[in-house]
Formats: sequence, C-alpha cells, structure tokens
Amino acid sequence: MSLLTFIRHFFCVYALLASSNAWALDCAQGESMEHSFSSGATWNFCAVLDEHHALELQNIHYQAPGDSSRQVLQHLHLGQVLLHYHDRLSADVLISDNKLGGDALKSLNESLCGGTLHTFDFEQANICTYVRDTGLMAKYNLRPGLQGQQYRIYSVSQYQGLTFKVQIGLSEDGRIAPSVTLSGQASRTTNNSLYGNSLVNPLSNQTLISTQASVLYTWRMAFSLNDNEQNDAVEEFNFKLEPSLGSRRPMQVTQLSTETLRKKNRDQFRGWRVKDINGSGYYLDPQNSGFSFTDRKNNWAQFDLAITAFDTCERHSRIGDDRANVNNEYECGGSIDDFISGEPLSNRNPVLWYSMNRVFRPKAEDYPVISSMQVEFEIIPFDWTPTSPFEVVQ
Amino acid sequence: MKRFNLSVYCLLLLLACLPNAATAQASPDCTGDALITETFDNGATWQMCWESRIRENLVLSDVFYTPPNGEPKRILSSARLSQLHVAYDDSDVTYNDITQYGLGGGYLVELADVDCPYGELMLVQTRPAICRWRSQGRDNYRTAARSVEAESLSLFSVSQVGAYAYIVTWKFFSDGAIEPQIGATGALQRNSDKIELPFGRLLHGDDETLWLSHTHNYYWRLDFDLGESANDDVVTESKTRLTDDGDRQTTVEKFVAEQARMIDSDEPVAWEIWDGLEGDKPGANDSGYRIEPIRYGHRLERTDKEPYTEFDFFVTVANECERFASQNARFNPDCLNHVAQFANGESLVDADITLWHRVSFHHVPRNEDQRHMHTHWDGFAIEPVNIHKSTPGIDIANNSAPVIEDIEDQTSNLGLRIQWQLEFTDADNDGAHFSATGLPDGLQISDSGRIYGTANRAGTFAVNVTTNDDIASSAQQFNWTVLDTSASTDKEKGGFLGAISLWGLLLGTTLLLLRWRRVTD
Repeated sequence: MSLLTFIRHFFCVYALLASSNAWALDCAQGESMEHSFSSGATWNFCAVLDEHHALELQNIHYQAPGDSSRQVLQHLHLGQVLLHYHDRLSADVLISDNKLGGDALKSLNESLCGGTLHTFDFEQANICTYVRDTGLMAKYNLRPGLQGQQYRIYSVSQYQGLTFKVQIGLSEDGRIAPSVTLSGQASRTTNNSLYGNSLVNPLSNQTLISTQASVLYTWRMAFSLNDNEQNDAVEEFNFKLEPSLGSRRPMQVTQLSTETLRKKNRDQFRGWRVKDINGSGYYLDPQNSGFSFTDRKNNWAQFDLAITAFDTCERHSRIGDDRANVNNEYECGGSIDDFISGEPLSNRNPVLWYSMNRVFRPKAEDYPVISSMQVEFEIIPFDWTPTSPFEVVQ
Repeated sequence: MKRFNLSVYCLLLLLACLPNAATAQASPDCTGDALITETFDNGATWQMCWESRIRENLVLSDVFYTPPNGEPKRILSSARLSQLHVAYDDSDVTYNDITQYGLGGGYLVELADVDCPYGELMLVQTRPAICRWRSQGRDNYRTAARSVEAESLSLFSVSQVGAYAYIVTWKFFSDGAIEPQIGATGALQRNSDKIELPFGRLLHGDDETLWLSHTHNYYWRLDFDLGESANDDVVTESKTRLTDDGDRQTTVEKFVAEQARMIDSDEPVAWEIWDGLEGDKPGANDSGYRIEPIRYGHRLERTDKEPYTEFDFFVTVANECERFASQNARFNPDCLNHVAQFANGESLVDADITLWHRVSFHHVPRNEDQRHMHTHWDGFAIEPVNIHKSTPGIDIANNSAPVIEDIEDQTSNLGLRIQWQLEFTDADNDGAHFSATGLPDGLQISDSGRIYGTANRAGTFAVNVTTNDDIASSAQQFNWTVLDTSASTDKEKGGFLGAISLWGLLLGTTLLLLRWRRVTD
C-alpha cells in the first residue's frame, strides 16, 4: 500500500467514524433527515412541506469528509414563481392565492417517485429522495478519477395541469443545487403567432398555436454559516476589463452593507459570496442565468439578486393587493421591493433572493405532455475547507 | 419472368447510380468499432461514427436519430469542440489549447475502469480513452399521473493540457436532445509571486503564491444536415420582448446570410435550425433543433485583440477548411483565421450550414481547488422541435383510458360533511386525475379523485365525473340527491350529541356502581 493510498484510507475511515456519530437535528418544523455518501460526506437538514411554497429545507448542515458538520443555510425554499402567458398583460402569481403547497401538492407513489418516499406527518407521501451518479468529481492525468454523487429531494405541485417539481440537490462535494422542473399539460392556445408556436395536436390532429410563457423562479436562501451568531457578510466580486492595464481584469471585492437589488454582469463575471467571520463561505455564480424577467409592475423581478436582512415574516415576494393577508393568515411585508428598505446587513443573517427566467416555447414534443424544462442553479463551497476534502496529494 | 427480373435489376442499378440527393443515406457511413449504436428502452435510437483527432480529439459524424416508432433521421454531419480558449486575468496573453496543444494524441488520457465504472471503455488505437456510459438522470416529462426519465448515452474522454484535465462529454438523450458539456478538473495552472496584485487569490497554506483567476471559453462546431438534403436547412432567431401594454411578443427572423450574434440579457432568444422551411416563419409541419441560451452568466470579450470574442453564436456556410474557431490559419493556411471572419456575409440559401456556439466560464480560485479541483461543468442543450409527432415515449395510439369504478346514484343529507375517494382502474397501470361538473353546491373534487366538502343546498344534481391519464379520458354520470331533513340533518352534530349521551350514560352508570359498592362495603 502506498503512502497515498494509506492516507486516503485513513481519511475515509475517519470520515466514516465521524459520520457514524450522526445526530438528528431538533427540527422546529418538519422532519430531520440525513444522507451520508460512501466518502463520509454527510448532509443533515429538516425537511418541511410548506402550505405556500411546497418543499423547504431548514437548518442545512454539510459535513465534508474529515470535517465537522457545519450549518450552511437556515432556510432554502421558493420565494415566488411568476408565470406569464405571453398573450396576457400580467403574470400569474403562484405563491399567493394559488399556492404550490397544500392541495396543490401531488401525492407521490413508487412509480412517480423512482426513489424513496417520505410521508412524515402528512397523510400522503409528498416527498421523494434519490441519489444520482454525477460522473467524475475530480480527475488528474493518470491518477484514478473520483466519482461523485448527488442526493436529491423533491416535491411536486400542480397548477392548472402544469406540474412543478421543486427539487434541491445536495452534492457530495458540498454544492447545493435548487431547481424547478416544469412539465404537465400545456392547455393555453392563441390565434396570434406573436404569442405562440404552431404545432399539430397529436390527440386531435388539429393545428393550433400553443401559447408561449415566461416563468420566473425566485429562491430564498437564508444563510447562517457555521452558527447563528449573525456575523455573515455578503461580498460582490467583479472582474472588469481594464484596457488601460493591458486588457487585464483586476478583481474588485465589495462588501454589501445594506439591503440591495443586484443584476448579473456578464462581461464583468459578477458573482456573490456569503462568508462567515472565519472566511469560510459559499459562492453564488449566476453562470446558469440567462435572461431578465422584466415586469413593469414588479421592479424587483428584473433583478437577478436581492439581498435582505433576515426577517422571519419576509418569506415570499408577494404581489399586488393580497400581500398582507393570505387566507386570513397575516404575513408581513409585501414584495421584495418592500423588503429592500435600506436596512443594514451587519449583525443580521443575510437572505439572498435569486431569480431565474426561462421561456417556454411549445413544440410537438410538448403534446400531450410538456417535455421537462428544468431551471437550476447552484451555490458552491468557497474556502469552506482548507483544501479539497476528497484527495490528498503526496 | 427472366425479362422482368432483368428489368428490375436495371431499375435498381439506375437508382443506385442517381446522385446522392435522390438516394438519401439512412444510416451512418461507417462500420465496426467506428460505429456507435444505442437503442433506449422507449425505442429511440442514436447512431453515429466517431474518430479521435490529434487536435479536436472526439469528432462525431453522420449522427442519426430514430424517434420511438419513427424512421431514422440524419441530424448532424459532424459535431466537435473547435477551440478551448483560455484567458488569464493578469495578462492579455491568451491560450488556444486545441490549436496550440491539442486534446487528442499524447494529451488524451488513458482511462482505467475506475474512471468509467458504469460504462465501457473504447479504444483509441490501442489505448482505452473513451468512456461510453448509458445512464438515467434527467426528467423526460411528468404529470400528475406519470413520470418518465430520459435515458442518455454519454461519451466522454479526458484530455490533460498542462495542469488542467478537460472532460469533453457528449450526451444523447432518449427524447432526442443533445447536450455537449465540458468538465474542467485537474489542478490550477498559473500562479504569480506578486501577491499584492488583484488578479487572483491566496489559498490556504501558502501566503506567497497568488493563484490567478481566468476564463475558459468553449467553442462548439455543429454542422447540421437535417433530413435527406444537406443544403435545405434554414436558421431562424426568435426574440421575445415585453411590450408597453404588458404582453410579450416573439418575432422570428430568418437568416439568409452568415451571422455573428450576441445575447442581450433583456431579450430572451432562441436559435433554431429547420429541415427546410416552407415560409419565412416556422409552421406546424417544420421540424428541426433549438439552441436556447440559458447558461450565459459569463462572457469574455476582448474585441481589440480577438474580435470573435464579441459574439456568442455564429451561422456560417459549412466549409471543412473552417475548422477551428480561432487560430484556424495555423493548420489551414489558405483559409480565414477565426470564426468572426468566417461569418462574412455569404448566402445561406441552399447552402450547407454550420453553427458555432461559445460558452464561457470565469474561474475564481478557491481553497477547494487544491488539489485536485472539483469538476466544474459547462454546456448547453440542443433540443428537438417537432422532430416527434408528440411527447417522446408516450404511446398515444396504444394507450388505454383509465376507468372509474361503477358509481351508483347517491343520496346524502344537507349539512353532512362528505369525504369520498373515487377508485379507478387503468390497463396500462398509469396514474390518473379527476375532474367533475354538477356536484352539489359546497362539494368539490380533488385532482386525485377525493370528493369533499359539505352540501349546502338541497336538490338533485346530475354529476359528471371525468378521469384521465393525460392522454385519454373516460367519464361517468350519476345523480346526487341532497335531502333537507332538518330534524336529522347534521350527522356529525347528531353523532357528537349522541356520543355525549353515551358517555353521560357510562359515567352515570359508573357513579351509580361506585355508590352502590360504597354502600355495600
């Protein structure tokens, strides 16, 4: 056995021993769940099915191999979904009167799940988990490659025949990948080709113009890195091309001190990091972002990111007049536009609201059922561990 | 009879001698190890030829797709990575890895079983260097009643260029989609001892080395040949804009000359290539493929030195001499040098068309990159548009409708709380969902077939319940009579009072017994 192999085995055994001391979270809501990979990497969290936004993970802890279990996020869930059929003058607001939780949640069975069903305290199975191989996680020349896996947890909601699979992927290497996959039945048609795509309905053999739609998904990420001491900071990274410096790109890191709305900047490779006082953190890179969702009634919707100070009642970006009273349940605030009130971020846990837009352009493959359209992003560990926890170089 | 046979023979010979356009090639032009064929559980099949070149490494050609229950259709004449351009933040020097080094030959890494644990290794000459992996992992479609995942055929190799290991991957899905991807792993390449400069980051354990931030720009070259003729493909651009009124309108532009296009974040765009186009706009009978840019948060632009970096997407007339997105003249001295020059206004009408697509990723070093760095993946999707007649994998013709179990006429009392789950059977074992019309006021039905609520109006109601599995439906009718029997209306209330009476009786009896026991003691 080479020294390298010995070191690797030592770390694996250590990690397995560490993970064997698994502990259950004390969940104020939902159920405590845990998943350990063969490398020893482990995720712990509380899984919640919320009345308004369906799947939510709370108190998300990541334990890298050989490391201790540390908290990343307090809350992770959808903060709003806007569905705008192009022939209409405004968007449907799915987290509002319509909801993705409650009666909109689909009961899953083994056939629909394809993994492990979880019933929790609910009458019906509404959460499914499964593990996927994700291919080479690391590889260097002739050294044996390391294979990676991702643990996925999801719920499915239905709205007017459409299905929304709300999923959170937790990777072995600490990445967190929230996503929503749109499928189900496309039912809206139009007679104006400016608003849709022509196709032949295979059920009726009739030609129709199926209506296009823009969908905006906004995720709420309430960070609380390592502990709840409210000392996390948010930084913005920019790499602006400076012709005067011979086409160099100096890195500019700015700490964001008050609540703000931000747009991605493709040419400056803009990204955001949330870091703890000890420097460990997570990075949000809007690489997977495509287009802005401009909406004249909702200023916030044109921005890719909003950063607010944590407030327990600012959970959803409500729209319009229903913002303060939803099913007679009082909820504070209104939309993100109201949440951005200039409050300082110091000594408060930061909340990142990240939005992604995608256009549904119908085609024959979407009849009778829409071919899945997934919108995903990820946050990645950034100096979370001193080195890669998976491999040690001799 | 002999004369007839001779005539048929002559006819066949004549057909064989006709030009290629009339005798469409229905399968890839290769055999043996050079041919890849993968048939998925839904019946869809991908076929293609492959080779490994010194520069580009994996080049796929003659790519055919057969939809479930369909005929083989030629999709691509060739597909490959055409440049791997790297720019570091601390300098204006850039690297063109494919033309300066190469991804094949000595840069191609020999793979072991542990690198390809779920698939099989294919030989490049004598070395195992391509992993062929059939996997599941992406949703195909999902409804309330059913969920199907798309299978995929993955082909990947690893090229070690300096400290970086690039995992060039092609995925072909059972729903007709294609995803080119690159995973960048290995180790960080460049550093500087000028730690005070703002071009990188110090990583844990070494305060004297600045690891430099940099951008990877991947240029993909896709020579589409949809259908029988290579020269009838048409490219369109769809752009969506929000109007002042609040609706969103999509306009379609048909490209008639070569193009270099840039993404505008405020105008969602999709580029489509069609197997011929009858009019100026695609209609229901046009089919092709779509590239919709959704992962474009980064864009490296250095137009002063490298003008092609201004654009994300190019449409050119196919030319084998135009092989690399940059530094092309290095290996093709009689040709233009980069892709922006290739797009110089030639007519696309009746021409064989090549699409070029750029994806950028800016890499900021982090502690986790030492060593070895976790793979960061970048790619895009090419999805079929009207290539299928319907959602791939759903057999509309042979689907059976779900059937609700027999429902008799119902009678209930006004004010009674109802909870009633309808049952169904489906010969295909599909799930089903429900809807209803005519239910008594106050009652509703859930998608899963649960009728619930409290009837609040007396009368007889004609109810029609429908169930469907998203493809076919069946229905049942019955009458539901709601009686206004005030004296014995509220079963729950009556039940509750009844329960109180029963408990009262039990309590009274117990007290009497205790009292009797005390007396007798």
